[in-house]
Amino acid sequence: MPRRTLGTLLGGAVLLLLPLALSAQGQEKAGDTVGNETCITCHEDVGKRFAKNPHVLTGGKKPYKQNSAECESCHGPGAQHAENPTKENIVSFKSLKPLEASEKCLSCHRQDKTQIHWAGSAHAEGRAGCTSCHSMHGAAPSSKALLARPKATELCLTCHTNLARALNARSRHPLLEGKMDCASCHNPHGSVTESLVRRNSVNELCYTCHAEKRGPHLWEHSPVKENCLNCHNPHSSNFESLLVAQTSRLCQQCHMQGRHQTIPSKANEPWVFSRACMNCHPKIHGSNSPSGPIFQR
Amino acid sequence: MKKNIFRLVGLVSLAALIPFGGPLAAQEATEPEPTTPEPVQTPSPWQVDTFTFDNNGILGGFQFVDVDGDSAKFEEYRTVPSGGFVDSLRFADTNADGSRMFDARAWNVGRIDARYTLKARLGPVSAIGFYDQTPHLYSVHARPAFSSPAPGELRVPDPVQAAFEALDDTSNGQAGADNPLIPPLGFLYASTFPETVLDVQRNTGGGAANIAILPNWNLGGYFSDEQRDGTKVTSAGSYDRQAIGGSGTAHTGDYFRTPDLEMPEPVSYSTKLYGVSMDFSGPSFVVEGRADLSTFDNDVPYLVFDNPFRITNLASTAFRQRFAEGISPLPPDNQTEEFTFSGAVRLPLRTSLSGSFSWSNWEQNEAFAPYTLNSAISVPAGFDVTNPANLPVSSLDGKVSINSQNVVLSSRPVDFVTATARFRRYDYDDESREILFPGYAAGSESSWRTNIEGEPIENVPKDYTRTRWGLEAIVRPLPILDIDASYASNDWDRTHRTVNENHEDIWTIGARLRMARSLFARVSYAYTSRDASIYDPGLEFALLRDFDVAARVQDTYDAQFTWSPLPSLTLGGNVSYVQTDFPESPYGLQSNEYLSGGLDVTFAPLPVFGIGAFWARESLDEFMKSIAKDDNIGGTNWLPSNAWNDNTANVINAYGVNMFGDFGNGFHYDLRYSATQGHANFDASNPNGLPTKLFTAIAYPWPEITDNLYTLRVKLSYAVTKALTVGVRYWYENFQLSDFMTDVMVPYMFDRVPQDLVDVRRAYYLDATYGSYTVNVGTVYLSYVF
Repeated sequence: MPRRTLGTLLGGAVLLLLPLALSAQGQEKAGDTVGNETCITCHEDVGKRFAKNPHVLTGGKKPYKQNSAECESCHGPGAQHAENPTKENIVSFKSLKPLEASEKCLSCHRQDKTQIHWAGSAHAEGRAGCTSCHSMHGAAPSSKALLARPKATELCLTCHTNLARALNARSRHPLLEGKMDCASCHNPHGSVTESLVRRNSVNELCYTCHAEKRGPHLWEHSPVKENCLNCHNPHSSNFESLLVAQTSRLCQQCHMQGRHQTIPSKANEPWVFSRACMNCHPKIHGSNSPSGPIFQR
Repeated sequence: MKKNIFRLVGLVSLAALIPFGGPLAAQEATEPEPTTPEPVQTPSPWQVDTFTFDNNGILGGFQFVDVDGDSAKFEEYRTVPSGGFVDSLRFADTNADGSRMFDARAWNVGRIDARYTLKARLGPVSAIGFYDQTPHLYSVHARPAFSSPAPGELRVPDPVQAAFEALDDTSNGQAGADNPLIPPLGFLYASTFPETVLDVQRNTGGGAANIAILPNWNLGGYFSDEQRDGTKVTSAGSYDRQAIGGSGTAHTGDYFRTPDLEMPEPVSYSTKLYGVSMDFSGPSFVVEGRADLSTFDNDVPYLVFDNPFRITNLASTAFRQRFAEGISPLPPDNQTEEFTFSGAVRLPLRTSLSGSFSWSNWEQNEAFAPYTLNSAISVPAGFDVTNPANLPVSSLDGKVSINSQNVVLSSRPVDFVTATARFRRYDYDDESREILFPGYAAGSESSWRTNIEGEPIENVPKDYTRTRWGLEAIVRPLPILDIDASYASNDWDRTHRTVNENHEDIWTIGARLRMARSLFARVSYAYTSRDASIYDPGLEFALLRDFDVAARVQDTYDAQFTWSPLPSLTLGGNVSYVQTDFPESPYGLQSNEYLSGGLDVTFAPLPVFGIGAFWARESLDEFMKSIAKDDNIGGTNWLPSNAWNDNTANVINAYGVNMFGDFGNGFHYDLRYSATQGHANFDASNPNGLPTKLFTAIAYPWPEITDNLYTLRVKLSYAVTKALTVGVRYWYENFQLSDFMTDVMVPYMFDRVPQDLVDVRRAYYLDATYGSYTVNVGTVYLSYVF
């Protein structure tokens, strides 16, 4: 079956199965609820803080089960717990596994368009969970979206510790300055690509900020057009412009056509220092000059 | 309602415009409520925190900045001036149910790295506006030889061009034959260049709004306008080659003259993004349709520049870069439109089906520049090459159509099993016009060339389609243990590349252990095998393989853990090791090893004392085989005796330690030290012994590149009241850079260091570099939280 047809059929299935969804709404069993006032009797601090929580300040919107989130919207019916306050007779997120905690959150947030690609994504299915990153009651004061850390990047590094090197590397994006964070490029809630990239492809993502490289150009450099990551490491580099290797060595990995590019060269030769190969081939991302087939103009 | 919105926006805007008067106004506007203290956050050892403080009210103060050395790298994406500052400003208010709110924030107020945001909600309408300024500083001491009388025009005084041209040598001589008077003239001329800052300022403003038009229906839209202005480095260069020793077996090497120019390229870009979306959701589904438009406009379409070394034009295949005036198109205007439909639906048996389908069109139709401004080329070309009317067509009529389909089906029918199937197809179809040119201005606008190695001068639009599908299963044999296995298939189908088809199999197995919240550990292994179809080398050496399309085998190992044995102690770490081999590549990249890992620990036994530390490392070792091109001897240009290999080892190490504590009486301290050390080693060698015939094949070691950044920060603060805090901060940064690629540039103006194989007497560089620095910053600040 042609792949295009397969894709179309699968796409159609999404739309056809929509009605089934209406019959599959998760119905939580109603229990004996006690209301917020009862909860706050013991959990006074949490209750006061929660008054400013986005789950309460929904602006009267009714996307969820309650007009605004009650304690029991997430923690379940609390009558038993009120009578005998133990962790076992209330939904305690501290004791839930990420998969279970996420299920609770998704019972409402599944209808957020930001969660469309959550199911099956890199952070789903227990690899991480909503409460791994978001803290309903202990969010950092200046954080966005109830993040457990003041800044998104700092939060991501909690697990991706290896990327801490990226903050101060010689060549890097402006994360430390707060101009970008991990979420500028990655959607932690899932995306259509590997590595949770926010756009349909790595290049499309890069062109969001570097639209001057988009083209299409008269003369295209094939590996550039297919994947920026062939030459760039977006997280950090010892070389200029986040390049994965020294410029002339990087180019020599694919080019031996003439004479000058086939020689190992001394370090202080014009195709090694400064912009190296790009001293003469500056239009390496593509040229729109009739005289640019080898990217000199 | 509209009236109220405008009142609200007006009030907030006014407050934002009067930063120092703002706090009082905001105190009245906001409703002070007794709040419960937020939970204390344990600082991370790698806290993302530079010079910009952040708080929920106003934070400002005074700082003294002392920079010793080259400030360019220190202020690459920021500005840190001495004097008074307001780092953070925030006014916010919300009514009881959140149906009316505004939140106005500002960072780095009044500086070129400022950011301002305004969020507001009024009933069903929520909106956000922002204005962001981001500098990108390349160098503070570039020395352009040009004046710029108009945007996109770089000029050199005629007498200078005439003086250099008079010293030109066109006798096809070899090393040392060029006129030795050029360097002194260059020095004299260079002494007149003023030091210039090369930077690009990126200012972006925009907004987004969302309206809940009906229950479960949302209409959204956004707009942003980004302006980039400034200058960055570009270049125009070439080389003349003379064979040494004659041809064939007598050929012992090549002598190169490299006339190069570096120039300040004007940047005057405007990128606009627009979008509208509509989403509809129910308890178990959400669907969204959206349209996005992106336009890029460059106010300066071409760079026209004088050649400092020539005042008259010459057409010559042997002597290149012999034009009086050059022309180089700058990034062309372009635009894209994209339409996307996405949705997710929850089905019985805890099954989710999600998908996304998008279609986009890219267009670029900027008018072509002429072949060249070198009128001397018109003679061999047979027509006026400087007249764009003589081009076969006036523009590319560039069009790309992209079609993307993504579907994921994930199900957890029983608690202990999750199965996921996914399909993805990305089709990049370049429908741009194919144009056959009669030739082009080659050798850096110095000769007319009608083919490249026998191939016609014709652009060939390249398409590719990537199709990926995969299956994944997660089994949970124990409540604390997940085991997963997956298979994925990747296929590439391309046109006009060295490899038109690739197929890749990816097998993965992994396990995750989670014991309550105290321990999480994960390990995984992936085996990847990529096959390549028939290799068409095109103009390249037949045994060379492009690494991005070559057959490869890859092993990937991943591990991660977080462990909190005590409430006050957390440890974490991860490591990833990737070994890639290209078994069918006789030349080119042979293999690489990528290692990335990190560890961190935080121990906070007492409120008055906590300590943390981290270490992170990335290394990439690459092994490449190459071979220097000789004359055609025995039917080949590629003699094993001219082979050379290269090992490049590239490492970034980062580590740090921090101490923090709160004395409980309002005093808080935070001390942080971190270091990032990068180095790259280049080890080239001749595997078959030192070449005895072709001396240009001799492999030389290159110097190591090192870049080290050391940072020390000490912060002491005292909470005078719950809302008012005063503090002092000391910040030390030391950056050390040693890079042969740019260090050699410092004295490198008009051939101060002539080479034995390469004559750069006619090379002019901007020296647009950055270097080492030491910075001391002392800050006194005051913070008030409303």
